[in-house]
Amino acid sequence: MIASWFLRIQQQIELAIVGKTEVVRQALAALLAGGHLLLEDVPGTGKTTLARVLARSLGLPYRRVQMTPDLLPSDLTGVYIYHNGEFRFRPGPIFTSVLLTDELNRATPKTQSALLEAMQEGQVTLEGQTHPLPQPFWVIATQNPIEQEGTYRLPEAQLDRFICRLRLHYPEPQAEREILRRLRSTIPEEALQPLSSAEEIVQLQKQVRQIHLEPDLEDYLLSIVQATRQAHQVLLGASPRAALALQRFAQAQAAIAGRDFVLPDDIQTAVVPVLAHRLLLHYEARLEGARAEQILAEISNSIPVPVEV
Amino acid sequence: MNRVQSLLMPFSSSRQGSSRGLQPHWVLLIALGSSLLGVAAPELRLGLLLGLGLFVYLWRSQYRDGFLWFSVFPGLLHLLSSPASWEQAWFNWFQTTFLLWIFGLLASKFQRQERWAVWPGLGLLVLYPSGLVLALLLGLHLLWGLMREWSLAQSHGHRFWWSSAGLVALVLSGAVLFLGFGYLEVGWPSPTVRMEQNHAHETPAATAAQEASEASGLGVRWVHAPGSPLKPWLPFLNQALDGLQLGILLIVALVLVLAFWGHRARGRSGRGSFLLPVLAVALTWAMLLAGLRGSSQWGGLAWPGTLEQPAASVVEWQDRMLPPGFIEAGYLLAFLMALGGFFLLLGTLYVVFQLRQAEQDDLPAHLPQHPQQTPRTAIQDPIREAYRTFEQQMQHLGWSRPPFVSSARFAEELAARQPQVKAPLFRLLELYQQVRYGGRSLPQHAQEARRLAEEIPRRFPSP
Repeated sequence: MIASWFLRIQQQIELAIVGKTEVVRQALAALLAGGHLLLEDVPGTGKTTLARVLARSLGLPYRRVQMTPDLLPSDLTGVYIYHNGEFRFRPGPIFTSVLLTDELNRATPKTQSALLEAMQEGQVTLEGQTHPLPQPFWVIATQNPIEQEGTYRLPEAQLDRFICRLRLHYPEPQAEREILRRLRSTIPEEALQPLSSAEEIVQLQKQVRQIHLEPDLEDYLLSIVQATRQAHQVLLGASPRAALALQRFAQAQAAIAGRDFVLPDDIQTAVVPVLAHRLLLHYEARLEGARAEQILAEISNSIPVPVEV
Repeated sequence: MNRVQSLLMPFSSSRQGSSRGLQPHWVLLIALGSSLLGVAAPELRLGLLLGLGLFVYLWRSQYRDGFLWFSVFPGLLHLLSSPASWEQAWFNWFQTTFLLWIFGLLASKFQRQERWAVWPGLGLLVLYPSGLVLALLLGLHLLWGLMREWSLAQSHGHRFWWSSAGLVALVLSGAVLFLGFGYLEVGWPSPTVRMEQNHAHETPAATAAQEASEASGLGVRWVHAPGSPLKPWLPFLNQALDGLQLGILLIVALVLVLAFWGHRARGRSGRGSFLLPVLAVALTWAMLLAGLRGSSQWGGLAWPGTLEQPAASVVEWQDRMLPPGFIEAGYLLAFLMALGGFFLLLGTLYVVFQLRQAEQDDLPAHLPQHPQQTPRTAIQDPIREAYRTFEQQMQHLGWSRPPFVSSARFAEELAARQPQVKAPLFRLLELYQQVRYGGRSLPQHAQEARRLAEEIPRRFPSP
């Protein structure tokens, strides 16, 4: 069921997004895993377009917030206003199903922190009142890794809330030519139809949690997570929340592939997108040019896969 | 876990996490019990006592693929028995070897759920009384398999897991088994008679002539019932057995020569060594047939008339000179020495394995060292076993899977090299993944997995 749902959505998204099949698959896996998505790449690679296309194809309510340094937390969460002798709550743009926070790292840490409770617990607390967010609640954030002026680096606690970080990269020459042709006279996004619903997605998320994970694979997953804490280039390794995210993301990938059980390959392919943005490298390691992706690849290549021996 | 599974748990191996403990405990208990029953046959008890338990242990926990090798060793201990002549011992040797071999082979087949393998086990009944014990063992294997299948069915919400063909095979096996017991009762000396005659042999008051004729027990065990319908056919049968014996030896010799030259032509002459156990088994068969040849004046098919009887004076001398229990103590000492040597060998293998493992785990210095190595889980499922066999065969061909590469990636790489194996390879992979990672049991596909595991490596060229 999940596999057919995925194929349906993917086919439509590929009408508007060219040559990003793997990114689309991982983005939808993040949604099914119930986690939030961080898109990181240089400007113009299609981050915002992908977020918009995803929201439109899924048929979910969608809001976009352009993060700026002068944005206040209340601009996101909403405010209480005095009207006719009583305080009434006016919800902010966060009360939606798909929230695109464009260029998240341009907001101040104070505003970024306003998202923490919403991303982790699916609720907003204001003036002692807790307001639940609609289900599903999916934050798609984008950020530009190059530009430093006027930006605020996302704190580790914030990064840990994103189940995965995806990079779009520049398209292949053939794909870029196809983009030119498709967008020359039409806007494919306008033709997209909602193919799913909030209820269906919540149901699918429940199904993903039922995907079987063998005890051997639990050990394998934990070995990878623990190895990130022992690697000497890493100052801060993966957290228990990261282990949970890795498990859930692997389950979602298995479900998308049409299986009801996780394979070692699901874990291996999830390692970099789920863990790379969570690792904090030592200063010396960064000076030497070490990258989290490279360290994770080495860790994956050093831990035996549970197969018959 | 349902009630049935919890009841079976103490009698079956742990699901994972242990490299030992593969052997259902009850098999070891039965092996011990059968060994004790072997006391009823003095000329066989040494081999049974020492051989069966050790053999089952070796077969299941340490040396699964080459267990047939061990079947030839316990019988050598018969050389230590009281009629200490090779002419007496060799017959006991081939009988013990044959029993162990046939039991191991049948139990192994049954373990892989080839239930037809139970049927030839009925032939064990002719090797009375040891055959009776082993046939009982086989019957208990059958029962255990039945209970396991039933518990599997319960856990999967089915009433019964076996196919209709499996059920028919089960019923027929049971029926023929009971028929065999019936034949045993009618046509052969009953256990009571057998025990009495053995007892007579051990009584000091018995005459030297009686001791000489009964010392080996052959005269009792192989005497055919009076009025046997086979009697008129004995000369013809003996001629046929002669021919069969010669034919088997010729075939074995031919196979060995062909295998040797074939592998030598590929530059790997050592690879024919797997045929050596086959040679041992074939020779055992040949000797069994030789033993079945007999003189009709002894009234049976099996009396090896050309052999000399043990000298009565030797038996008398042993009875008079050796203190009670002396020979048994010698057996015990020999057993302990053999056991010590065995564990020494195991220890050496373990050290070699650890050293080789340390070389493989020599990771780059900047990577963390992981205390946890590849999980070694108990392989109980025939599909997992088939996949393991497949990987081993591919490794022999020079296609080994690095430890950090998943089975799916390994299969993709193999399929890229040999596109014609893609379909069977991915089918085997699918079955394996469902069992290994999906927590399923697919006994109905076990045969298919084994076939694929054997077929795929044959399509790869030798290095």
